[in-house]
Amino acid sequence: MIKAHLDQLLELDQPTPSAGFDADFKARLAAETGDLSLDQLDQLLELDQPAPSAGFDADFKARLAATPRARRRLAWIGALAAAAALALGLWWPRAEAPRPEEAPMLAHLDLLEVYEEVDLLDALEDEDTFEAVAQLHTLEVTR
Amino acid sequence: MIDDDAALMCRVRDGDVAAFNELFARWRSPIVRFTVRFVGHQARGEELAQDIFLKIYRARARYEPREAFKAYLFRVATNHCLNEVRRAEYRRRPISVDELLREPMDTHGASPDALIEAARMQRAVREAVASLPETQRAVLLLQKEQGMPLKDIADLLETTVSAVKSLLTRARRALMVELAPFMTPHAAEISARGDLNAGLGAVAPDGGR
Repeated sequence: MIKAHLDQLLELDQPTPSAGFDADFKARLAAETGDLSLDQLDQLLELDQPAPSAGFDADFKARLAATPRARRRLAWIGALAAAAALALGLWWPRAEAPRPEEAPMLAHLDLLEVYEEVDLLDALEDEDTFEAVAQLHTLEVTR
Repeated sequence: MIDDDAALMCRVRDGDVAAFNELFARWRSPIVRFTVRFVGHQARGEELAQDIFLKIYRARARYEPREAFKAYLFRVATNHCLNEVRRAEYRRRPISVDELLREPMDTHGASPDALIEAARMQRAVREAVASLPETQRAVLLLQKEQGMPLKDIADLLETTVSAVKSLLTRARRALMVELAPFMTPHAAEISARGDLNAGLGAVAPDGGR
């Protein structure tokens, strides 16, 4: 509340340049810079008016023309990359997809994981051993 | 209400290449004048001017006529020039009289001696402007060269009008100190008339570098 009031009071004080401000500034500037006035400075600055050289337009048009070509080249590279990615995408899942005859093996993948252990066993010679091996997957494997 | 140039730029945005050529033809000279004086070097200034037009063309799809086209154009130009002079590897190149003599110039059939004197004077002016601090240079060129209102310059540089006034005053004072030795009052009078042959005789003898 107090701050808002203070801001309002501060707004009331808006100093503006006095009548002699410009003349005073020019006099001070003249003391620093000799006889050169602001008008003279402006005239002096106008002496340097660089203009486009003879080749400017042609150079620019060449650069402008190169822009779409470069973009078209990039577009081609992008399209080729997209086509390659698409082809790879179509081929890769097929390479990985199981064939129908592999389905039973995949269904017993857990048994294959202990294949090495099973391979160490001797040939099954009697019915009891055969039964034990048939129940092997129900046993807890300890290593 | 959009200006003619902004309307042209809208057509560029919509794919009208002829409209871009028209804008380029209208603004190439003011932009080259701005960039060359900003960096103090003709060839580099021209490259920057081309960069600016290319930037505008490449960004055409995003153009929205929210301000006068001139303000938009010089916003791009000023930012591009400021980026150039703020680059770590940027070095201001010395300006040679020979180089200035190769620049396009309306000589009014002046003698070779007069042309050399004119080139010396031009070099002094260009060096003085190019040696100003970058924000002072930007304000001076936008205000003196382009006649841009202080409010627009303040918006463009994201500062206040009083800060712009202060920068402008400091720039002019620095130039007056720097260039005072180059002109006699008579020479100023002559240069105001653009009479190169007559004016060059009034150049202070110790003014050349």
